[in-house]
Amino acid sequence: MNPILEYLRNDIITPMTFLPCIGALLLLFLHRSDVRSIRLLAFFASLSPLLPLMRMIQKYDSSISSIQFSFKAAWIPSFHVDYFVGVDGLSIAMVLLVSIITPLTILGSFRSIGAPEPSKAGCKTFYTLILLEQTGLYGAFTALNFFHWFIFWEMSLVPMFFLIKLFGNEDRTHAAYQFFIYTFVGSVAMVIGMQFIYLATDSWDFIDLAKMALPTDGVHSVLSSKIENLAGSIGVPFLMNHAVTLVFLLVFAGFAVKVPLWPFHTWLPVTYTQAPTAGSMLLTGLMSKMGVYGFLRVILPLFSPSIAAHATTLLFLAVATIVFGALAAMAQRDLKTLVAYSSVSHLGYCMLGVFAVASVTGNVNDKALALNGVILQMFAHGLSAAGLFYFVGLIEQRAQTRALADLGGLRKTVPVMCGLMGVTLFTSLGLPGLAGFVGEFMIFRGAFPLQIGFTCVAAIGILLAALYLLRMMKGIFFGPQDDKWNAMPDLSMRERLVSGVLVALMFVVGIAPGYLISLSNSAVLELAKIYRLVA
Amino acid sequence: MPWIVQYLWLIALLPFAAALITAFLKRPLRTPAAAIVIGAMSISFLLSLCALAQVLKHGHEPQTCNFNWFHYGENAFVRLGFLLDPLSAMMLIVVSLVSLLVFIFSVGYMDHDENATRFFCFLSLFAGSMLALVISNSLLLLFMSWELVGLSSYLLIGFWYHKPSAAAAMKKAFIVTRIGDIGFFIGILWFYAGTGTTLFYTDDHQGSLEIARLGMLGASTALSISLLIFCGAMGKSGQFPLHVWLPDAMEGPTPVSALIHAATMVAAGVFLVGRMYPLFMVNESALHVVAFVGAFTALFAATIAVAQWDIKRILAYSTVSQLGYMMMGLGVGGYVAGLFHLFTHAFFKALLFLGSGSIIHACHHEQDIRKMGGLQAKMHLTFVFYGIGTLALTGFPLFAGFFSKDDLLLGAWHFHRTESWAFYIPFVFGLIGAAFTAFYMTRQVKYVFFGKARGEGAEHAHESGPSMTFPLLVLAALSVLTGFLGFPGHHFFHHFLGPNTEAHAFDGTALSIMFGSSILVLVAIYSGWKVYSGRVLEAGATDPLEARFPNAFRILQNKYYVDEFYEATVVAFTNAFARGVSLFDRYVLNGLFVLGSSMVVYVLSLVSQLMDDMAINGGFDKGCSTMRKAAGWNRWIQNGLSQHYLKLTSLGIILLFILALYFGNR
Repeated sequence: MNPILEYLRNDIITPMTFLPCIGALLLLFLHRSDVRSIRLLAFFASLSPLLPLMRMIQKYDSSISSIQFSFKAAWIPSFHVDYFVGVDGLSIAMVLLVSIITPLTILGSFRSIGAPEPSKAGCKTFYTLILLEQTGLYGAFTALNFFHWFIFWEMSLVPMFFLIKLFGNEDRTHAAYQFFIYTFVGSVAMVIGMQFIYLATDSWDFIDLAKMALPTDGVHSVLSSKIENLAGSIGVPFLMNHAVTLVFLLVFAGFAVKVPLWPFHTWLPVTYTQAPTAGSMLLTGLMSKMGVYGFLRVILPLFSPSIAAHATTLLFLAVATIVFGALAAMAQRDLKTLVAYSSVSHLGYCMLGVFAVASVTGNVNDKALALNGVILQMFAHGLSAAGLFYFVGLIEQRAQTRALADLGGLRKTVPVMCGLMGVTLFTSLGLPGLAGFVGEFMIFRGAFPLQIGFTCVAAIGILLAALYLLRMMKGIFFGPQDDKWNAMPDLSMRERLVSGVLVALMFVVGIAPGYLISLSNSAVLELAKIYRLVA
Repeated sequence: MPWIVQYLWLIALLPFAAALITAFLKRPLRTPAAAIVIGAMSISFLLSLCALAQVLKHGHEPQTCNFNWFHYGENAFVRLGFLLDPLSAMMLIVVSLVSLLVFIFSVGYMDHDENATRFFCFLSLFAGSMLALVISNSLLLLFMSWELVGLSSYLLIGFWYHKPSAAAAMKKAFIVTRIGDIGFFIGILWFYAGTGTTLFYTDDHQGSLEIARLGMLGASTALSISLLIFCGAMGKSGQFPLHVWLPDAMEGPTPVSALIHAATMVAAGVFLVGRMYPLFMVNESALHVVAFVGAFTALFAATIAVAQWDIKRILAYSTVSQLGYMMMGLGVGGYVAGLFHLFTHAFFKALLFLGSGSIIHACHHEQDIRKMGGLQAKMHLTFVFYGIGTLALTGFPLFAGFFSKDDLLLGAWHFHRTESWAFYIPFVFGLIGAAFTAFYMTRQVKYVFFGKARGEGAEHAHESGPSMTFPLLVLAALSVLTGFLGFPGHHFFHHFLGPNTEAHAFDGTALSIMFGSSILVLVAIYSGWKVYSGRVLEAGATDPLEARFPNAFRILQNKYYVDEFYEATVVAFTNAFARGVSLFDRYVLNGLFVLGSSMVVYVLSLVSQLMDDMAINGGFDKGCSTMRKAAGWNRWIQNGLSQHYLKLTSLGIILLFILALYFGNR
């Protein structure tokens, strides 16, 4: 048999990952003034991973909890570095989300790529960066060897840095640097932590490490004793006693910044506000999920005793993220900053679910429900937050302002936008029948028996979400309309397509979430079972 | 399973589908939109009648149709379902009938509105959600529909979104009800976690609420859950202190006020308490809370209504007050009495609101009763129907409100306990509230229909068209007839809804309460009639109550300053807190810590640069210059001139020769 075909039979993920990257290479052959071809090529390149993905979805067995479609090849054998990809219930929804949001982002930015709108020449760079970002995201959600994974994790930072730096708003340079350096500091901490683990275990492999970390008696595991042994050999008493906790904190820092968890979130409003619309959509729709995914893939399996030991603090941080994020959103005047803070608050729900599961022994089904809810909430938030940023971008493009106070009464001139954005806002608000409610309900229902107090306080976030989102709705669309907006065009067919797909998905997930939940359930149940023994 | 139970979901789905279709219709297509929506609603109404027939024929056993929403964990399911029992059958009839009539009324009322297509879409969305609410067999599904009716209410209150007052009212309505819903949501979580299901009746027709009652949840847990769920009911049904949104909701078009904010949605809270009644009964304290909140609201809102000028606001406070009566009825243990009042109130209050809509429409959207007057001569039909609605609401003997209110008062009388006088409060409040109700309704009728026209609109008023008067006719008939379903002695409604509960005997006490309250109502109507006649009804005259008690009148007119109080406390606090958090983020977290630490890094890097320059670079430079010197020597050797190289080469050869000669001889 043809060796290429033979290879493709074994590995679906690698082609999927690199198809956008190949598209980016092909872009090089187009002349920069040929904007039309550049757009089309970029769009189809970002759409192309759907082919392998569809095959993957078709062959995916939702009853298996282990890694599927895995492909492993030795990369740097002397350091135990493998090229290792695969998906399971924790990642497949995210892969799906990347494949949906990125093409829509490209389609959505056909007309306007960024606020300063550099000459059309910028187009080529712009789409190349988005396609590279897509490859980075696929890698980050499918790689299972730390070394391999980390390359993609950081690789997703670089195109985003340039997207912000080159195409962002007024304060883009500052935002780009703060974004890059802040998250990079987190990554460095994580690398140090993982280095320690590698030195102790000779493995970078997430799956192997998770097996080693299975708790034997509630506190100890093979992994923790290896870490303690290594720390013991260093000979510093403090290190010896707190080795596992220190490693946990280092790795935790990387993900906490990425999610972001209060109080490590301050890079986010600045970045989201200054990024171009496409950048904000990718950041909030996809990149913010990398942090939560990291918690599910790395923190929960590897550090069960540590996370249980610090559960109260962590839950406090999660609730603070929800409540303070929502309160800060209430006080914003800039639409983009408002949506950015709402994003912070909504990811707080995911963290509430994660930490509640890890905090106590409890019913496995409750925990599975909460973790399924975390994944569903990530998916739903990916749709709604990306949609919100898209709409805010459209408004900014038409009105040349992002200030809530300048707008009002737009429902009259742009009724279609009002309707579609209204659905998106209500998804974000958690209205039943739309995607947001299902995730929130599952997280709250799963977390409630585990952590009654924290869950009840977190419910305030639901109320606050209504406050700031309805304030936004009222500020943009209701009340008397200024005559200067009379000529504002409603959504074009292309814009209707982009937002229509998002809105349709919000309905589908909101009404029939069963399919998405069945994708993640087995893997999540396995994860929940670890925590039967801890705490 | 009978076919109607199996297809119960169709009743809710049809209006949803109609809403979906009309959502895609363009503005000019108002007639098709109305046709689709009314058609779907008619079928729903017919199906509701079938459902009622099923219940009447086959007894009171709840019949369910459950399904899995999704599966999770190890063989765990979230199950939802639909339920047909006497309560849901009754609500189905109320909701679908009033909806249908209001839809027909709207065709005339919204005749000139450019957005009428959208209006029918929203109305249909509301009807679908409300029907889903009453037939859901799961607390979760009920909550989901509950939120959807909230959404439709939000959309319809703000239907004239360009008015700032409407834009503010829609937001207020959603948020105030959501405050209650947070409690409701937590209550559901707790109930679900405690009993493992949200179904009211499982597939084997076991009542989960009854099981919960038997002790799966402790008495104190049951109390907490009941009170949390009651929070939701308070928000939706406008009970004090969450009543503030309902009067503002009158910003919506009048058919909306009739359907949503009088007859159906606001009664959802009462329905919810009725649905969860077994749980509330586990711990009597829960019902006591319901009774006292209801009684207080009933009186509180009735007093405010006395001093309002806006025809719809008077009716809105009246609605709040009547909802209070229903809650009180449920709380004092009169399960059937509370729901019976819900049933009769739905018709006569819809009648009053639609009647006021007819008046407002005729008066060119004038809503101030001081600018009306004399309409009795110009709008005969509306006057007659409105009069019937008023008599029903005031509890005039033999009208619908008479029977249902009497049931409530009788229940409240039997509520009293020997241990405390406080248990007389609901009865006393209910009685005083009834007097106030009769008074303010008489005042309103006198202002609107009697005297001379005091405004531009009222002078040119004329009777509304048949699409508006026909629904009034039907509702007026129902306002007279429905009362007889609860005729004392042979209480049909009681046998239908609560066959297992004991009705209060129709004895001497009952008769004297009935007699006494009737006298009270008649006296209140008479005094209202006397106070508001003659010169009082001329243009520019002050309200006699205002002239007599200016301070009290001002307090009532300003609704006891509750809105102002909230504005100054809760709202101000939340806004200040939000601003504080935002500033803390910007200046402390981002400013002090993040930028601060980056400053520290920057200073460190400056220091290290200095170190580099002085220490490291110093040494490095020295090394370099030494090397340069050495290179200078080397350069002398390698200067690229061949004669120079030859010279050196020959020198080397000579040297080698000498060495060879010297060492070679050894």
